Amino acid sequence: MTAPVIVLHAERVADPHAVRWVVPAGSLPVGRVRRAPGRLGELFADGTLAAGLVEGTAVWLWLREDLAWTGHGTAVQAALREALAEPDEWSIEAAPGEVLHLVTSDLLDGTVGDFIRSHGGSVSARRVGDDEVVVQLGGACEHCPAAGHTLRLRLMDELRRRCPGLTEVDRDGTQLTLSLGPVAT
Amino acid sequence: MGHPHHGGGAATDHGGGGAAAADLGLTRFAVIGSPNSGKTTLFNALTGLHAKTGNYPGVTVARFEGRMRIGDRETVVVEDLPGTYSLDPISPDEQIVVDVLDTDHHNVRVDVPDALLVLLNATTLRRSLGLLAQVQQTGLPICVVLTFTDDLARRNGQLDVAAFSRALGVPVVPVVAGHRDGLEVLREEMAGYRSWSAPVVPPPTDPAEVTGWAESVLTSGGYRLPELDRRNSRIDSVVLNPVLGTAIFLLTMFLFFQTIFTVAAPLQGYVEAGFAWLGDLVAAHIHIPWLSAFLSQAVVGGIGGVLVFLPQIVLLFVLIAILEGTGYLARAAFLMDRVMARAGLEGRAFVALLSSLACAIPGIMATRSLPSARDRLATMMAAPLMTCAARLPVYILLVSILLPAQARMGPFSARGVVMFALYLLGAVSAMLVAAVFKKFTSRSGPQLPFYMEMPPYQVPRLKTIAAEVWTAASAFLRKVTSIILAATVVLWVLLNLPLRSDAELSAAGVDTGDETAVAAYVIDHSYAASVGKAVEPVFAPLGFDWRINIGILSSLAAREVFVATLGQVAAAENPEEPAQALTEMRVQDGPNAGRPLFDAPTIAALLVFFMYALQCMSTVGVMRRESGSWKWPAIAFSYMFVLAWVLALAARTVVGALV
Repeated sequence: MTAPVIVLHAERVADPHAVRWVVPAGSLPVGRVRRAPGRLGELFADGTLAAGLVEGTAVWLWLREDLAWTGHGTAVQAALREALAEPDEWSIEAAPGEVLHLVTSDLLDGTVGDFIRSHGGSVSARRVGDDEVVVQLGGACEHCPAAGHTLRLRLMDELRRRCPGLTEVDRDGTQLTLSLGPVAT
Repeated sequence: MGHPHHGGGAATDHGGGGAAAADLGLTRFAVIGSPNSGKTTLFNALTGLHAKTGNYPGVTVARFEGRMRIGDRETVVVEDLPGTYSLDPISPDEQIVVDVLDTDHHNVRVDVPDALLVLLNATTLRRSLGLLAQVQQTGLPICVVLTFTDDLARRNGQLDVAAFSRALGVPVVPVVAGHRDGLEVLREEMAGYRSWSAPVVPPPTDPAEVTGWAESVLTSGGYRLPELDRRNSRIDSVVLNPVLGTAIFLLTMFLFFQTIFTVAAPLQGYVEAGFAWLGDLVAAHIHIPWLSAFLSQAVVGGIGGVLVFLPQIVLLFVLIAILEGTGYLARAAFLMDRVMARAGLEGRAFVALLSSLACAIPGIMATRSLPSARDRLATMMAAPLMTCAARLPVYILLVSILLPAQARMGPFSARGVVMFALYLLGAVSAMLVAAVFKKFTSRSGPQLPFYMEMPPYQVPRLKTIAAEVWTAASAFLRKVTSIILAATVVLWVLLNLPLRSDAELSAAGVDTGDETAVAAYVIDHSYAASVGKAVEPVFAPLGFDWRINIGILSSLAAREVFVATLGQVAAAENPEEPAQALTEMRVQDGPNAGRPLFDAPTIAALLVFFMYALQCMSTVGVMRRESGSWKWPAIAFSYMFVLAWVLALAARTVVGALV
């Protein structure tokens, strides 16, 4: 029997200690990694990896602050590949607010944010309480009638893909309050 | 046939090392991609056709380098690496790519580039990504150049370039052939190569893992495979049909040679008129007898006799470039793959044989893409049998003597039909020889995979055609002014020495006042004549007399010299109408004395002789370099001479019996 092909690639993110490992949607439950199988588990245990978070289409892994991905990337990649072959051996706890904030910030750091900034606007995301994230448009957007539209169009599609169970709690002009519904673990 | 070849048989320049020395200190970019990824088009667009051709030191893989300016007038060197599907080399030219990318510098013969442009064909991304994954292991700065995005869009494929670039971790620039905007973006991107992003973690190396990586990257890029091109598939269903396709192929080739004869003939007339005018000018203004004779015989008669065929050569290459540009030639190769398989060879070998239609040299060099050494040798032995451009003048001259211009076979020009038959016979012979060599040299080996991409059908680009034709025509002109001129001058001297005194001429009964009679006497009793007569026993059975023998011996330098030599002899006998003189040449002695020298059986023998004999020193030289020893060129020369002689005799006998 041949091993299943693990569909996986690494993407750079704003935080130099983190790598976003893109995996097919539904590979793992969404939430904070408590325990991982095999060599990946060992990397967590010996402190090489500081943290792990699963979103809809990716696994985020953080290296210990004094380490660099240049030296450890290949080993982590191999370990993650093995671990992904055994999804049942992972232990992941729900962390809806944390996941939503991470993904929203990632999008605002990337293409969505670039678009808003290129129009003279500014945007930020902050956590409110345990489960909610508030996205706030500023700058040129404040008086822009299309602001709400932009947020929904540019942000929500991608966000929905990466955060299954996303709900819009409240929308008020330039401010959008989001929440992740209860996620099955 | 990616690069324009040096048609006409010019030898290649070996100056790879010199080029590297001159470019010392300049930033080097290397262009990497699979065959048909648009590599050569991009390279030409970047460097503006000012490429230098050389060889990689120690091996015979052609090297293409050019310079371009980026950013603030920084001049950089761009190197077009041979097309490859992976960095696991199976052929010598793929090995070169591996050597060039060897950053540890194990191979000090080649310069490691500072940055890489990796070409990915947007319509075949899945396969191309494997190459990219391997190239990314080198750690060199990489920019992906995405080609054929227009084709992808036309066939309803999709790719989010920004997301794709993010997933790969390297910059991605779409460049569409023929559009300047993409090139400008690429030029700017190249200026900042020092800050190109690199993937945070390099892709995996294990093939199964690479498959998963490629899948993941393509999903992130929202890649949707292009649909099968319906227009292409419809045309292909006809053109690639074994029966119909073969018929179309033969018809295309048939029309090809009809065109060469009918269209080029009037143009040829102009060139002839031009040289006649030059001849008159020489006669009228130059009164030093030997100089006047030299100019009218060697230059106007000899060189002019060869240059007359420039229109045909140009037309041949225009037609080849059009067939290639429309995408038909790749189909012809695919179609022939089946035929080649019968001969025990693969489609790659056909590409090499096809290149030999221009000249055996690029054909022999194209065998480098053949992974199997045995296939390489078999193809190399067969390539010189394909009808190269150098045979064209000889064939045309002989066929023109044989058949009047108005002769018809049905609705077609009889000359064109004979030419087509000559080309067909050459190709069939090449296949047979390849099969025989393959049989004798091989024990059964594994059949290695052969990828051939079918480029979409399109209207050929005028610029590309012009470039290919220019390369071929200038190579022909260079050849005429170098090797052919030199051989012609040597022959002129041999044909006019020893000098004869008037007393000697009078004693022989020659009217010293009749310049033509004097010239004829001098030539008939020259050193060259002695040589020609010395080898008469060898060629007499074929009906060749000493004049033809000199032509054949001199054509060992290059086939066209045969035309130049006959031109010289004819110009001496009838300075006014050298062409007329050829048809009127008579056998001088022996039982057939007085009969026309160029009768049908002799012409048939000559045509067949030229079809099979290896009369090209450049080919012999290249064969030695490519095979690494004198053994194979010696074998090729001998087998081809024996084949030429025996078959020429057979042709003479058959035609003699028919006429």
